[in-house]
Amino acid sequence: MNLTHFQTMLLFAFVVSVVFAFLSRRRLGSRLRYAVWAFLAFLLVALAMGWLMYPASH
Amino acid sequence: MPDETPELEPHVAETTPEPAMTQEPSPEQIAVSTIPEQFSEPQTEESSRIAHVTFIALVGWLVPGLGHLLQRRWGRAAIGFIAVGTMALAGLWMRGNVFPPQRSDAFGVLGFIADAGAGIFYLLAHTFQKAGSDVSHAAGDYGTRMLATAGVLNLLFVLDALETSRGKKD
Repeated sequence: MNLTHFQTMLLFAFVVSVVFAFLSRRRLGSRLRYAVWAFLAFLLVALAMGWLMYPASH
Repeated sequence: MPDETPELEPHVAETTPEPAMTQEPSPEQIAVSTIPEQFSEPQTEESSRIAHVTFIALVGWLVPGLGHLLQRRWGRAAIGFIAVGTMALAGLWMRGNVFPPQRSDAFGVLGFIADAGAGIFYLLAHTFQKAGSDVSHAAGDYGTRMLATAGVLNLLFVLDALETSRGKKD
C-alpha cells in the first residue's frame, strides 16, 4: 500500500481525532465536535509546520 | 461508686486467658474466632477486584477494544478495535519496521514498547506482512510511525478501560 505523505497524515489525523473524541467525550454531539476540531487542528498545524520548514529545503 | 465494681469483674474475667484448653469453647470464644473471617471478606473482595482489573487490562491489550466490550461499552470497543486495527494494518501494509524485544538500543526499547501495545496486531505482524519491513522508502518510514501510533492508541484504550472498571470514569 503506497500512500503519499499527505494521505498518510490525513489517515493519522482522522483516526487519532476519532479516538481522542471517543475517549474524552461522552455524548455523540460533543464527540463529533471534538473530532472535527482535533482533525482540523492536526491538519492546520501540519500544513503550517510544512510551510515553515519549506525555505530550509531550498 | 460501689455500683461500678461488679461491672468491672466480668470484664476482667473475660480478658484473663483460660488455661483449660480441653474445655468446650464458649459462645464468646466462637464469636471471637469468627472475627478474622469477617475482616477477611473485604480483603477477598479487594483481591477479586484487582484480579478483575488485571484481567480487563490484559484482554484489552491483547485484543483492542475487548476491555471495553466486556464492560458493555460498545462504542468505545468498536472504535478501539477499528482504529487500532486500521493504524496497525496500514503500518504493516506500508512495510513499517516492527521492533523486536531488545535492550541494547534505547530507541529500540521505546519502539518495542509502542509497537507491542498493539497486542494481537503486534504478535501477528509477520502473518499480516510476510515480506517484512522496508524502510528504504518513505512509505516504510510512515508505516513505522503508524505501527507505533496503533500501539500507543491501544495503550490509551487499556488505561481508559482500567479507569472504567475501577469506577473512576463513566
